[in-house]
Amino acid sequence: MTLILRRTAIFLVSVVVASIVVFAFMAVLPGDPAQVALGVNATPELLAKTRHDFGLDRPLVSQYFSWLGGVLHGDFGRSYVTGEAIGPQLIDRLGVTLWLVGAGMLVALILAIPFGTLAATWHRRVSGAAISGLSQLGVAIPAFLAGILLVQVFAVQLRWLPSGGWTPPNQDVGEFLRGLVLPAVSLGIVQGAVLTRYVRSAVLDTLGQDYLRTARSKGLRPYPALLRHGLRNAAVPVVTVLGLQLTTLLIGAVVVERVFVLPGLGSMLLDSVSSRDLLAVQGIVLVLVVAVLLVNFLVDVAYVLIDPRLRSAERVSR
Amino acid sequence: MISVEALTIFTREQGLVRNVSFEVGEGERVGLIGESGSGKSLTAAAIMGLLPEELRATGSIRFHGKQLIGASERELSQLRGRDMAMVFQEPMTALNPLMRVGRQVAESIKLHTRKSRREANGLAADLLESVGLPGTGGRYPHQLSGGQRQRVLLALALANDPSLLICDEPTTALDVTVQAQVLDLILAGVAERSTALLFITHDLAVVARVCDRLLVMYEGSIVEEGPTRDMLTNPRHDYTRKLLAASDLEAA
Amino acid sequence: MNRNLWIGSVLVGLVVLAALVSFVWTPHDPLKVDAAVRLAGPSADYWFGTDKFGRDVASQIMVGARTTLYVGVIAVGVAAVIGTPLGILAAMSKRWLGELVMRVNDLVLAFPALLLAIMLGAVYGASTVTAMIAIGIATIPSFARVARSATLQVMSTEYVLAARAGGRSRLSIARRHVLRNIAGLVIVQCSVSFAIAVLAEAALSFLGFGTRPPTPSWGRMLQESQELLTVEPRLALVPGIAIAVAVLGFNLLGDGLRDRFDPRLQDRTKSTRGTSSARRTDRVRMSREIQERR
Repeated sequence: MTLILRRTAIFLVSVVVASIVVFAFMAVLPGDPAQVALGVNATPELLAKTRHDFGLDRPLVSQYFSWLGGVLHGDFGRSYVTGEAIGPQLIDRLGVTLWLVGAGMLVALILAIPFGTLAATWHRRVSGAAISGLSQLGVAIPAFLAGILLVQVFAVQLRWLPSGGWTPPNQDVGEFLRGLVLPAVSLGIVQGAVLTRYVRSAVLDTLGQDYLRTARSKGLRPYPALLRHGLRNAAVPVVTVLGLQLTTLLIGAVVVERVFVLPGLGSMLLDSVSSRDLLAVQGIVLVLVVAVLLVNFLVDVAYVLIDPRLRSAERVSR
Repeated sequence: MISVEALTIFTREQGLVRNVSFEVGEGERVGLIGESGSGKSLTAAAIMGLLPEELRATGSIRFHGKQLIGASERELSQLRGRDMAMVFQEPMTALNPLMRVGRQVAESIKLHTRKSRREANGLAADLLESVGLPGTGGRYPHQLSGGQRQRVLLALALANDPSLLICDEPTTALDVTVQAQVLDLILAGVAERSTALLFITHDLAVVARVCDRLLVMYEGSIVEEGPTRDMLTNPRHDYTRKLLAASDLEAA
Repeated sequence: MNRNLWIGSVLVGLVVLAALVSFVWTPHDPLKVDAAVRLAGPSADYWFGTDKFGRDVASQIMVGARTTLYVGVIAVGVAAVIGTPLGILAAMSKRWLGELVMRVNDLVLAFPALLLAIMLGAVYGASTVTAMIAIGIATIPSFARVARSATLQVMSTEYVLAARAGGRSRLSIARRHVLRNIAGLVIVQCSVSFAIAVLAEAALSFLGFGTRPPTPSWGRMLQESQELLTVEPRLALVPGIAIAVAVLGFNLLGDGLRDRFDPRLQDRTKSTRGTSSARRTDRVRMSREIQERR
């Protein structure tokens, strides 16, 4: 339990530090948001007034705290460029990205768990080596390339699925799902390849373990033995890697959103950067970074929950 | 009760066990001695049907009249844990680290009987108590010492009163002080259940204590066999003599 | 020489060769726009055909290889030079300092390469340089982790314990024992990180946050090919395959080097005796990866 508390503390501290880093980075940026908002011909008085409205004439520390305070309430401020509240749009876009990431992870797991396990159990046969080789290939393909190719085949040639666009689930579930398939698969195939290799390694390692031999000597058949005893043990290293993979998925989603024209956080980020909407960029980057930290934190906790060896004494060496 | 005839185990490149034949009768305690690489562990694995993938076995192994070589996995897994059981050498890695030991013992019971979970757990607790580990069912393997883990494995093996218990160097990896304890428990366990014992080791001192009859294996074949007493006082084969000379046994 | 090492070296060699040759010669000028030969198919003259501006694809690929390798070398170089000493330091200092360094490390990990590149691009305008620096910074944690866990292992060997008992200063131990022993693993990490850098650069160029036009870049070639996908899939496939070859090559190279350098695979002690070599390899690999992660 103390281990979990420690991890939570570290997580919270990391979030705070990250927020400071993000804020500082944005504050250091050359360029004056007021200028950007008003254009070249603004008068000095108007600029000064706008700066005051934006709160930019206050000391940095106070700006930071009021920003952070707002964020904790879900208020990400108002865009310097559009004047609209950033929060609601951010939440909407985040939702889209989360659907994408979630579906991508699902596809990846659906591919990796069976294929990885088979690659391990068949590791002496040609079929096992083939799966292994395929996964090496899958790792080498960028997600957006997979996306482009999938669009070409399924959207343009076969016309089975749309080549882009987004329908919210509450509007039309059918269209929502159809629009989600290709992007999720693009993300999922690549991540699936990476995960397959890890699953294969984990299962292979488990297969060689003595406790499986004990299980067989009790009278368990090979597959039930693997399922009952091997699965949880194999899951440990895979879960470790899962967190890292979620980070990669998140970033992959940013790129895939471009290919499929999805209104997600990634495209919002890119748009905000090009329009120099710095407050929006600040908010989005913070959300993304906190998401990554959160995922890693959850993985750490899951790790402790799965493996009882971590619960008792503190690990001596890390 | 169990009769091995012309057992040969080989890989594609070489033969590892050649033409081994022996018998173990009901309740007998037979020792299988030899150095590493002599093929004794493989022989045991062949009896249990747990040979590694790359190895093949020919010959005959009759267990209560039933032919084990070539038997289906289904038949073999019904026998394992119920009529024949095995305790392996390395206790530190033989238990599932993520499962409580009581449950691992109970699993053996539930696999072969119709007992409910509660009954099985109760029986498991009794078994653990009988090997000197009362009330430890809720612990995880990493919370137990090597000797304790080996005792759990013994309890597990004897859970369903098998007619044959195979022990493959069960005390070799343990501290000397603990070895005697575990050996006593093994002897008590098999005596109580009239279980036959096939005890594999390279240590003559241990085998002298535990077994009535000895089989000496060298490079894949049995080179000598006979009652323990005779073998130790009057070894005939060269290798047996070497083993005797190398150990610390005094003449009985 | 194991198979991974072989294939990996060949693939990487291809990329390096293309880049090097491009300094001296390319079939055509990759920047030359020629409307007359727009979207030409592959021929003896234009090996992979031309793009929508009439530029020779083969030449673009060759010069693009340069960009890919530049970014990889600088990014990995920066990361190795900063990350490795950091990791060694973390392993050799007092408990709390080492912990702190690793926590900061984890924090840096929370800023993925793409994010950093976008942020840097926002400040300084996107370019090859911002991409290099961003990917470099984002790769530092991997090196720090590997260096740290490897150093911890070296520190606990009897050899080093004896040296410390004999009074050797930590700095001299670092120089004599640690560096030599972790060199192999660091090299492996270089190869693996290179593969990741290639993918990152491609993604950034695709998004428009990498190499600016007109300098050829594989990622941007992919982005430009998007609109003409139905008509000329070749324009997407060629740079796509180039990227895949480079990434695959560096990954395999890394795997091959890893197996080569790991002393545990040479180890024939009891714990691995009797297991097939495939299982042994994977078992060692898995425990390596877990150690690196934690």
